[in-house]
Amino acid sequence: MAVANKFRLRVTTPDNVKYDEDAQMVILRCISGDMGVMAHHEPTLAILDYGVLRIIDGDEERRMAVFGGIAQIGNNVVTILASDAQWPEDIDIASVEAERERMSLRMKDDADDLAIARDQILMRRTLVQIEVSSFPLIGGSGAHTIAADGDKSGAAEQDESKGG
Amino acid sequence: MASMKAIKKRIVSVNSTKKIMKAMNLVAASKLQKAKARLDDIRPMSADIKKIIDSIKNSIDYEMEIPFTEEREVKNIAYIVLSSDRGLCGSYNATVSKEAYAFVESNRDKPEKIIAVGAKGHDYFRRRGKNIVHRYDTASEATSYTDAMALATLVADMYKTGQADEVYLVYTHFESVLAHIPNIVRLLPLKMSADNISESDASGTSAIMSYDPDIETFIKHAIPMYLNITIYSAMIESSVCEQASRMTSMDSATRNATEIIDELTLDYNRKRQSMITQEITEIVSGANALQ
Repeated sequence: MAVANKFRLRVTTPDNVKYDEDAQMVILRCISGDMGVMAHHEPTLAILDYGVLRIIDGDEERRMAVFGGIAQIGNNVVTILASDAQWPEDIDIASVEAERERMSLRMKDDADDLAIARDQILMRRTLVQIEVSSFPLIGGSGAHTIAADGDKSGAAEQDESKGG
Repeated sequence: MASMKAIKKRIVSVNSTKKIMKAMNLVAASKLQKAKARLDDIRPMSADIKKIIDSIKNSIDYEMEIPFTEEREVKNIAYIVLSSDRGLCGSYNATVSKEAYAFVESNRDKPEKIIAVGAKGHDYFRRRGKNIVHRYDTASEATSYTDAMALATLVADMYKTGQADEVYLVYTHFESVLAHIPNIVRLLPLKMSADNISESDASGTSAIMSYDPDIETFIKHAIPMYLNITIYSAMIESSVCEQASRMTSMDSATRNATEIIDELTLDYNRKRQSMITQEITEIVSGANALQ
């Protein structure tokens, strides 16, 4: 049964539940790099960075922008407690581009480290929004081939594509 | 006894007050529904993060230095008091303020630093001459996660810089529309003694948990998030209570107004009756005099 290779994925933000459905694989952007999670993953707690969350179920792949949070993996349930998350369709790309432009200009004038750090966070937010909105232009291909041979239980992919 | 005209005037005025209260009741009812939906969204998340923090407690090594857990000698105490900006919501503000005040008084010997969220709580403590260090006025139904984050950052900084050695959060817990319980929780320092081992062991996840990238980094990130969410969910709980309290108090005010109108109408009719009787008596006696 295909059901055996699936797990429950729940994405919650303080404002609402973004996703509560089954998935075959999810790729999380953790602070130490990307982490791929499939069914029956070992119990893990991980810190999420700003980045794109990829949800793969069969031939379908959905993407979501996640702005930091905690991922809790265990009992074949992945719970993502995000500080904030957005679906690509909820992002107004024009205003995000404008915001990015504004941030890059403002960072040149920032005097102290604190202001730079603050603007960097805002800038990264816009970059993630742009990345998630440009789907399926970035990456995307080959996603379902990984999902297709995921019928061994306990399988987990770990690819350190981000590095650093 | 008031004249008929005066009674009539009062009926009209009570009636218009009643209409306003009825409208406020309806507005509060719809706001309550919205606030309740937000509460239903945040409760699972807040329960999840509490569970995570609890499970960490059991896996930490006591040699490890964890931020926000150090129990220092208590010299200054910070209190976050969540109340509302607007009145006309029954005993909601009084109850939570009184609870907070009694608690502040029980720690009299340590200087208090009050962070008042909501104008009503702020006024309550100002009248009693307490030291208010910060004041936030945000209409409680519009509270956002960013507001909670700002508050959490503020208290975390106060704790780190030694301006406060303990931080308490006073809010109103929502049980049901009619039961609101003022609640005091200690936010900082986090209690790291493993007093609820049995509870976490029952869930069976703590022992074999792995952490990414490692437990120390995880805790450093998880604690601020825990603070944010705890404060945010307390804000939402309080705002649900505010709306529920306003709804029920406006409901009883509407009922009281109806009662007053009934009484006044009775008065008015009695008066009218006695006037008619008097007039008839006058006419009859006048007719008798002519015979």
